[in-house]
Amino acid sequence: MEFGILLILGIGVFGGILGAWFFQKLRIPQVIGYIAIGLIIGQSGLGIIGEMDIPNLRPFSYLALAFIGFLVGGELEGKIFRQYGKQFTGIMLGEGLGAFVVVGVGSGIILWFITGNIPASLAGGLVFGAISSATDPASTVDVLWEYRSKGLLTTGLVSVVALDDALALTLYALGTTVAGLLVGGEVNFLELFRSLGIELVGSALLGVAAGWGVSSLLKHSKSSDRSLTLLVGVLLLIAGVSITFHLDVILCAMAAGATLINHAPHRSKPLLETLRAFASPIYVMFFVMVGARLQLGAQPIWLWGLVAFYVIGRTAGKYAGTWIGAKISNSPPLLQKYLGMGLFAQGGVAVGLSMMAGQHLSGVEVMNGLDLGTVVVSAVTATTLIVQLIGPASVKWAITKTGEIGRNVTEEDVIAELYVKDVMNAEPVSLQEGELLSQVFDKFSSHDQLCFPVVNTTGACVGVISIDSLKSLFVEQEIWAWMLAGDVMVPIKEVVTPEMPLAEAMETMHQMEAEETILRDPETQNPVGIFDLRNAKRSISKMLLKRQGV
Amino acid sequence: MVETGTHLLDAALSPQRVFLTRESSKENILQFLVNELGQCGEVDDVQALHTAIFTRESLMSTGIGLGIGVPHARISSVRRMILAVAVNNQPLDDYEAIDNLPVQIVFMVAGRPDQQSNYVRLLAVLSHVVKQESNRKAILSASSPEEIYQTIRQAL
Repeated sequence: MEFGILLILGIGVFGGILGAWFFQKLRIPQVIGYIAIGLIIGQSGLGIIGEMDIPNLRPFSYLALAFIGFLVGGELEGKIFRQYGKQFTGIMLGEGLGAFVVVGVGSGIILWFITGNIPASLAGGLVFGAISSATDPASTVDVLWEYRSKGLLTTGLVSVVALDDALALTLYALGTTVAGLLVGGEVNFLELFRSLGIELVGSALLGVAAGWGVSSLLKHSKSSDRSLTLLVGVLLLIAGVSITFHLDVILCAMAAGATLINHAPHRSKPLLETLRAFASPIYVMFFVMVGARLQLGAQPIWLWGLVAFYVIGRTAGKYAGTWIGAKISNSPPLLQKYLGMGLFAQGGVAVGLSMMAGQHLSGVEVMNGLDLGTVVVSAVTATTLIVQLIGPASVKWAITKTGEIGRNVTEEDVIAELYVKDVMNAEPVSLQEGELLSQVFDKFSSHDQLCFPVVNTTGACVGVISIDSLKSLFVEQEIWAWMLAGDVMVPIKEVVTPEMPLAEAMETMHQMEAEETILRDPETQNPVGIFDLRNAKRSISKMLLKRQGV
Repeated sequence: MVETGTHLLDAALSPQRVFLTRESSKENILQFLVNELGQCGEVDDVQALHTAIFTRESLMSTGIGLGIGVPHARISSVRRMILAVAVNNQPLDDYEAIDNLPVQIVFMVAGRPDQQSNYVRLLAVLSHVVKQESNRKAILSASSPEEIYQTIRQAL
C-alpha cells in the first residue's frame, strides 16, 4: 500500500510522540521512543516508511540537522570557550582518537581474522575507526534539553559533540585515503584533502556569514513572529546551499548559531527558545527517520561479532579517551569522570560516512559475494541502532550523577509550575474589626505583612487593610483613639484563589495594579492566605536558585 | 483622590441635614439621624444603614469625648458620602463616650465602602473642629440649624 508523504509525516510525528510518551513513563529519554517508533514503522518493521520513501523524506532530515546544528551552535558562547577551550579541545581529541584507535585496531584484527585479507582488513579498520569517532549531537543534546540540564558537564557535552564532527570528517578523509591506497583503488590524496578542506572551511564560512546576516537583520525585526520566520528561512537556505555545494549541513548551521549567540546574545536567546519549540515536530520526524531507515536484514554471524566489538570498543575508547584528554588538559574531575559517559550516541554523521564508505569501498571484496562497503554500511547501521539506545540513556545517567538535571530553568519555568497556594502566606495574622487604629499600627510594625485581613466575631473576613491604605491615616493621629480597623478597612476584590496558576494570578494582579490580596475560604469566608507580589517574587527567586543549584 | 476639608464638608453636609433635636437617648438620636439621612435621596437601603450604624456602635461607642458623638458607617447602598448633624437640647448620658461625659452634639457620617480616604479625612476634620472649645460653645449656643451650619463651615 502506498502512503502519501503527508500521511507518513503524520504517522511519524504522531507515533513518535506516543513512543516518547511511553518511554518517558519508563524514565527513558524520549529520543529512544522516537527511534523505536521509527523501527516499528520503518523498513525493519511494518514498512509504512519503505525504501522508496527514504529519499523523499531526506530533505526533512537535512532541515532537522540544520535546526539541531543551529541550536547546538547557539549554546557555544565565547565566554565558555575562553574559560574551558583548552579542556574541551583536549577532551574532544581524546575521545575521538580514543574511539578511532580502539575501534580501528580491533575491527581491523577481527576483519583480518575472518577474511585473512590484510589490506582490506586495514582499510576496514581505518574506516570503522574514523566513523566511530563521531558523536551524534542531535540525540545527545535532545536529552540535555529534555531534562533541562545545566552545568559544567552539560556545557562540556554540548561543546565536544559540536566539535567532534569536524574531527570525524578529518579522520574519515585520512582513513579512506589510506584505505584506498591499501586496497589499490584509485584515490587522489590531494583531491580528497582539498575537498575536505573546502567542506570544513566552506561550511564554517557560510555559517559565520549566515549567522552575521541573521544578527544584522534581527536588529530591524520588531516582532518575534517575523524574527522566527526570518530564522527558519535562513536555516532552509543553509540546508539548501550546503547540499548544493556538498558542504556539511550541521557544521554550517552550528557556525551560524554560534556566530549569532556571540554577536547578539540578548536578541538571540529568546529567539533560540522559540525556535527550539518550533523545531520539535521536525526533530521527532528526524529521529523517527533514523529508526525507520535502519535495515536489520539477515547478516552473517561474524558481522554481529564485529558489531558487538564496535559498540564495546567505541564505548571503551570514548570513555578512556575522554579521561586521558581531560587529565592531560587539566580538566575538572567532574569532566574526567563523567563526560565520557555522555558521548556514546552515534547518528547522522556516522551513517552518512558509512554510506560514502559503502560507495568508496564497494569494489573491495572481503569474502565470497560480500564487499567491504556493504560490511561497513551493515555494521554501522546495526551499531547505530544499539548505540542510539545506549547513548541517550547514558547521557541521562551522567547528568543525573552530576546533579545537572532540571537546572536549566528560567523564572518563567518556575512560575509556570506553581500555584498561588505554593507562594502565599498561608498563616496570615488577622485584625479584629473592633481593634483600635493604634493597635492596627502596632500590628503593622510588628509583623512582616503588607496587608491584614479584617475579620468579624465569627472569623469571617470582611475587609482588608493594606500598608497603602494606612498611609492616609498617619497624619490623622487624633482619630487613632476612637477609629477601629473596621472603620478604615476596604472591601476585598476577590480575583485570586489558592488554586489559581501563579502566572495567571500575577497577570491579574498587574492588570488590577494591586500588590497584595486576601484569599478567603469560599464557604466560611475565613482568611486562608495573603498573596502579595513582593513575597511571591522572593519565593520564586529562592526556588529558581535552588533549581539551578546555585 | 483626597479632597480638602472644606470641599468634603460642603459636599457631604447641607443646612437641611442640620437639626436641633429633643431626643432622650442615644438610640433615639441615632435612629432619628438614620431616618433623616434615609430621606435625603442618597441612601437606597435605610435598613442597611441602620444595621451598619448600630453594629458599629456595638463594637465601640462613637462618643469621641468632649460631648461629641460621631456615629459612622460605610455601606454600598449609600450613593455618596453624606453627613447629618444633630444638636440635642440636653446631654445624653447613655452614649458611653470614651471620656464618660454625656454627648450633646452628634455628627452622623455615611459613605461608600470604596471611599476610605475621604471618609477618614472627613472624620478627622470634624474631630479637629469640635476639639476647639469655642467651636463647641458656638454650636451649642446656636439658635437655628442654619446658624449651626455656618458655625461649622466657618470653623474650618
